[in-house]
Amino acid sequence: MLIEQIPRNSQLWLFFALLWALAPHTSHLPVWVLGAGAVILIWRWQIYLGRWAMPGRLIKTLLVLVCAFGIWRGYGSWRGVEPMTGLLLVGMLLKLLEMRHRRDALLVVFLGYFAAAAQLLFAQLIFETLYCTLTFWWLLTAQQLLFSGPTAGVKPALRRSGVMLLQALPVMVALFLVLPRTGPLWAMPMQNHAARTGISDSMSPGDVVDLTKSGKLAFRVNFDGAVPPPEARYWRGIVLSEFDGRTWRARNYDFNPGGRGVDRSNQAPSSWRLLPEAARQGAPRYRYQVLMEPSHRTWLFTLGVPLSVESNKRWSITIDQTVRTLLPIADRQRFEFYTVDMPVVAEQLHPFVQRHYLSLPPRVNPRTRALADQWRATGLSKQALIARFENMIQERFIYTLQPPALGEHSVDEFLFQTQQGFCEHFASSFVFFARAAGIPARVVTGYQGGELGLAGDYLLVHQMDAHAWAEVWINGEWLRVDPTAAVAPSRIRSGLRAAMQNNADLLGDPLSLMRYSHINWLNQARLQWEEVNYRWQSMVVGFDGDRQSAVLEKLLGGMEPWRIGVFLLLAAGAPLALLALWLAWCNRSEPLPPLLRLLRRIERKTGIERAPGEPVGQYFARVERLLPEQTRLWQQFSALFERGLYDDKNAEAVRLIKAQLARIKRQSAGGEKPINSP
Amino acid sequence: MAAWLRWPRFFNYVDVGFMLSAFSAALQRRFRNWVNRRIRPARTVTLGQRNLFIFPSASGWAYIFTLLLLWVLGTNYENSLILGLAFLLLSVFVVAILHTYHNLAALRLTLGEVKPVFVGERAAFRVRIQCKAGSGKGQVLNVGWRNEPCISLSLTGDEQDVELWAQSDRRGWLHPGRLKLESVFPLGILRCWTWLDLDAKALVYPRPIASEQAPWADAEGELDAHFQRAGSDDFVGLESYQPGQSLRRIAWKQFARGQGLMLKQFAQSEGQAQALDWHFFEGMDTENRLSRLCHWVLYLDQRGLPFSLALPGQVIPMGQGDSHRDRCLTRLALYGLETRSAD
Repeated sequence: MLIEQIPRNSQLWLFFALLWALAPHTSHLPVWVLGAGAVILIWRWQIYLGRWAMPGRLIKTLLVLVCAFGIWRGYGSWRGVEPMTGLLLVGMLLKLLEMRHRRDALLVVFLGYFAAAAQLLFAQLIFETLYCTLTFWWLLTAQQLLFSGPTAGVKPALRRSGVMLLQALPVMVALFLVLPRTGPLWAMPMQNHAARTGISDSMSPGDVVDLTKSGKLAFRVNFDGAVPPPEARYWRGIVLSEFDGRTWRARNYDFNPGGRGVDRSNQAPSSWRLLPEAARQGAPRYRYQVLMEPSHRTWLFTLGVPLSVESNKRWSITIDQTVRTLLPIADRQRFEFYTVDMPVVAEQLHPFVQRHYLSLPPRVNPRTRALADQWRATGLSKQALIARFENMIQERFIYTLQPPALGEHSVDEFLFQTQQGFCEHFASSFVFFARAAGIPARVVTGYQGGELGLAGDYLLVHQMDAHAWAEVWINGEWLRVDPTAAVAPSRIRSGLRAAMQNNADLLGDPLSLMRYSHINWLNQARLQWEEVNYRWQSMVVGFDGDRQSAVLEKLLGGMEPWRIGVFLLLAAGAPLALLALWLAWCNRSEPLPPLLRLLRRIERKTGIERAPGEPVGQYFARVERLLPEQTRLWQQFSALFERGLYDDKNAEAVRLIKAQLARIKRQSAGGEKPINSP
Repeated sequence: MAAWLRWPRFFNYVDVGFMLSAFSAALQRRFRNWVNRRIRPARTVTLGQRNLFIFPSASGWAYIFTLLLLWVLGTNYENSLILGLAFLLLSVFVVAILHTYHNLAALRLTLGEVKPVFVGERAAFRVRIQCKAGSGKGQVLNVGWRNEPCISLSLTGDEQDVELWAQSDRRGWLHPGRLKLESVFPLGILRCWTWLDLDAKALVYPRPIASEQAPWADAEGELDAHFQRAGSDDFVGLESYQPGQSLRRIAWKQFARGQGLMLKQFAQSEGQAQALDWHFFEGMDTENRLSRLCHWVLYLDQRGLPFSLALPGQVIPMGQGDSHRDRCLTRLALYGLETRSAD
């Protein structure tokens, strides 16, 4: 058996394609693996140049150990996307080092396909997709060079594989549209080490300010109806109800008093208590799709509370009527919501729970407590207390992204000394005040506002839209109170950028396009790009089973197998059939020159075939011997053919032969004997 | 006990391996018969749907496995783009079927003249492979007879000759069988191949074996003295070559010096005509006799002596020159194998 060698000309290209496939992974690969990879590549290069020998077993074992150590050290675990990808890449590199035969090289190429695809586990923007497609092109070219013999050039191979990719594209689109999405076959490990972004489940002074420096997208929302006005865009995310004097924290969800009157529903929407139907009439309802950017957290953000749950149960509703996913959001995901923006009814709080929403850490903020006691003593109603507080901050307080630092009694210092702060300061101090005044209250964090997309039917919510506000329990329902709105109404109406018009330095990164949004054309370009990205995300990346059925319904008017079969046949079969026809057309035999065609006619008529390679003169001499009574005719033909073959006046000879043949035909039709009868 | 549980016992009594091999042999036989029916013998063959077969190669199955794994990856992470890549690989596979087929389709193979050889030599079959000019077809072809090593080549122009060898082991007609032509170009994942019957055969002359005694009797019944010193030393001079004369006597050394084609002249070449006779080698078996006769035919031809050849039932009259020699050798090669005379 012949051992298939790796063509030398293909090796260089293979190196290039693999480096190209590896490049996007360098950002997450541990240093040890990168080092080993560099050694491997250099070694292989030296083998290619014929300077070094293949590495011995000792060195290979050493490299394996270094890589394994690197992965274990760098990721701290074997599970997860990154260690898996790391192992894959290490395997590819090691195979590259020890490849000898063509099948080894082929295996490296196949692993390269995986490495390219693994890139898309980390990011799925248009750029990454284009990059990955290029990787596939390079790898297909490398694969082709492996089978193209030792003299093949890279350029024709590149052209051919490019052509094949283009021809495969329509078929791929058809398959992409039609082939059913089965959903995960088994659970896969998710990313371990990705930085969590966005709002967290705790809030200390300064947390939200940090977020507002980021122009990164948090999520996109596509509304089925009109987009709600800015004042109504409170994206409710996390309820924080535990306070230690400095930091607000979400309630531990194991805590479930289980008492009467407590809303225990974290699965079924039917058990929430909403206001009676009549009272619900005016409450705005929204139907929308949220395309979450990967946050590696489990929080989802909704306008109010959901009225229905998703069929595939990726999320559930917590005891605080917020929405949490079951798994951290590691990639862009689409969620459908149908929510109503109205107070959540809890008619009566269990005393235990009420205590929770009134609890304050002892001995902090004595002045605020005193103020609350003092105001309460005047006999004001709860609403009036809240109004008075809002009035107080509205008159004297300043909304700023650069609040002075706060000490031990943060609320006291904020309310009575600095009086400058950001939404978190306002929300935090308000809730503290309300609790001190005997009103059950809690902090809610999420996003407020959002930028209208170019098409006008979707919203872009950025990290800088992060916001904190409060909810108070009055008359059996949780009411939203936003003290920030009292201080900086423009923040609510037009967003942070408008509120901070004269303070643009605060918008963080000088490279962030958000910073230049006052430059009109740049802003237009940014929004255009966002638009393209949004379409990409929603139509391609987010093309899941649900969306597939919707598109196919619309496209085919039904989901019956025959419709899909016919569609697949047309969409995938037609380009292939066209290609096959074109190739067949390329293969058609060339038409014979006119003289040879005439000669064939004579051969058919006489029944005497010309031997392969027999000269015309010799042929007619043979015909003359076999059919002697037309001697003159054959000599004539012979002369004409010779003239036609060797003379420039080819057309003239063809014309004469044709005329002669026509004459014979007329004669035989007129009752004379045909030429081949002896 | 359920009936299906008793199945293994059935295998105790039946030689499964034998059954399987018999089954596969039967399958192969059927396939060969089908190929025989489908691809008829012809000296010139154009490749097309009638005679080309295509199937995934071993690498092709690995490729399919790879794209399946990609599909699983995409499905489990619900990653549309990775699914798209898996579909892209699948589509490339489908498109590659057309490309692999197109690489061979419409190629024309023509078997050229085959020169006779002596037993033990390898016969050269020259096959001309042609394609339409500029079509870029015929990349990385593997061509070879069944049971012989393949030759790998790529068409650079619109036609190329390839010489295929077959080992001869006995005189008569050598049939190398069907010609295999295959290619995995461009991606190596699909194998397109054909088994062509080019009606290839080569004439194999008997192996020449020198005998001590010349096969003709002198008047005295002794061997002529000059035959005992048969060899180069009876060379006497050169004469200029005339077309049709035996190439065996060409003086290549002189030709290489640029003196033109010359024939070596040997002493006694003006000697008397000889009659070669089968019956001279009494007591030998057929093959040995034929080998001896073959040697003397060559010997006499080399010296330009006229000779006749008598075999049981056939006599070739006295003659001289290449065509006479070839006729004699052909009779020797086919002696006893063909009933009908070709002359």
